[in-house]
Amino acid sequence: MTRSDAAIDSMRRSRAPRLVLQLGSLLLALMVLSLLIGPTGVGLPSQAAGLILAEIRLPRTLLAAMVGGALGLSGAALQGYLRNPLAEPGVIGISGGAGLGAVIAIHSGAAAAFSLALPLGGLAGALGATLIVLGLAGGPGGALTLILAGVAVSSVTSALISGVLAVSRNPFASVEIVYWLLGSLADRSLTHVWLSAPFILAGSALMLRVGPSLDALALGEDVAANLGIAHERLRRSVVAGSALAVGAATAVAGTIGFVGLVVPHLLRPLAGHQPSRLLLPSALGGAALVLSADIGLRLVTPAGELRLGVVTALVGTPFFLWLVVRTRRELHP
Amino acid sequence: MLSGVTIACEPGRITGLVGPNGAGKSTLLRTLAGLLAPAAGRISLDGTPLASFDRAEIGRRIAYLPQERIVHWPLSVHAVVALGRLPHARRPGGQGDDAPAIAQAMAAVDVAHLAERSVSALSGGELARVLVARALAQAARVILADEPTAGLDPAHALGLFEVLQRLAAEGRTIVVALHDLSLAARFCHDVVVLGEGRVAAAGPAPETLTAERLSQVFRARMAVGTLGGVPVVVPVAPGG
Repeated sequence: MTRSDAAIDSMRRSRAPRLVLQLGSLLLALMVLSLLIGPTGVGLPSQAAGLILAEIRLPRTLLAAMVGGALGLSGAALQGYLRNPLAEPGVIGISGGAGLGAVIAIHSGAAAAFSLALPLGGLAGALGATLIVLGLAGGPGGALTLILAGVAVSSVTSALISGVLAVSRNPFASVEIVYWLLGSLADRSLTHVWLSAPFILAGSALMLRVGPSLDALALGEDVAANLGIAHERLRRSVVAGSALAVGAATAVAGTIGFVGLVVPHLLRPLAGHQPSRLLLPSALGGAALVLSADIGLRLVTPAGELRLGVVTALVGTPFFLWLVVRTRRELHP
Repeated sequence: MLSGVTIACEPGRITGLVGPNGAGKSTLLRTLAGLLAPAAGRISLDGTPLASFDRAEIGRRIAYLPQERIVHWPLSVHAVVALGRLPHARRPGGQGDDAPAIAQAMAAVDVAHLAERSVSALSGGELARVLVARALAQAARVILADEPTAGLDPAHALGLFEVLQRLAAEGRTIVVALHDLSLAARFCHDVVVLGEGRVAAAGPAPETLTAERLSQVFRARMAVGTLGGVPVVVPVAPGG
């Protein structure tokens, strides 16, 4: 190896860790900021301030980071697996299933009787939808059957959610359903953190392992198989991993759109377009995006009328349109 | 569908698979690569049934190059070639022992100068060579290539076969599915002629690639001769 080869090689190796380091520092700074802001500023350490920090801001900060991380990472894993930059957890029915489960928990009154019924319902819905999608998609059929099955399940879940809203006789439950569907991190406690953390961590661990397999899949399924990738196992890891992570995230925070789609999109060029190098940065970037959206939300509307899902979509859309314009310029300079 | 196929591919030789569209060339190659399980029969590698090797072990022993030149993301050339090391370490990126194998593979097909280039910015010939480099980086003793010269201009097609010739001379077993019968006649030591899912003929190239047999299998009148010292096979008229 010549000296310039060695230089190029070391440059190549340092690029990805640097991205992780930068995004990690950004996330850390945002977490500190998130702990410091609120209607009652935290000044000198007092008992009340400590209580607010531990009981209100800490869970909110942790949940924002966890939910954003789950969405960003799942988006990157699904885009890599489906080899489609438009893939996101909603495409394969996970978000829809979680939404339906939570809506049933609210409508049935279970959520009012027992506060954890809502996230548990969301989680059960996500896992149920995932099992149905995997069953429908069948054995080795590649990405297409998975997307088709996911689109079908998404349509059914959104039809059922509308149906529940239509037949609901309880206006309070209907309003709660609509608000919940818009996504929020307000009034969550550490219980929500403990409830969702194991699922988000387990799902993330499954997805973070598949990086090399996703890279190999870039050369097509036959070449990936020749390179030793077990396609069935890869599919199970990606789908089950995103179902666990996004299911748990949706269960505690409602549906938060666009993060899973936009974050991997934005970071992909910085990761050399390599799916394996996109996974961790997308988790960190998703966490940073949701956290900054939540911080912005708390600064602009301290009373919390505007919903987190609304803000991420409002912030995400201009980014996305900018991407469309940039892609168009690349195609037709 | 293929049936009753018995062939042996020897180290140090290039074996060509020829036959009309739908004769089963690609199916046979994918079966040899362990990507398709045969409904009946047996595939052995060095005397051991292929099915008894695990996936990564097959990847270390057999490199498969499909006809479609797919790269789904605009990866760098280096990243694509480095994927060939996956069966060895399951850890791509050119670290440790992988770096020399990757550099060697890129040098063999003359793409080292493109290492940092995105594959989306390559010409068809360059991309074909990069994907060959990926297969070479696997350092496998067996290389199965499906139409490796499809879509390449004559100079690049010849260049690619010279690389395959060199690899065979190093003791590797090379199997290529081919439509270009002149290339098969010129570069393949052995040729398997497939017709309607069966082996019509198999053996050394000059014995199998006869005008009479090719005319029969391809349902077209074929002429076989030499031009400028190289063997040439041309279709004369359709319909045998």
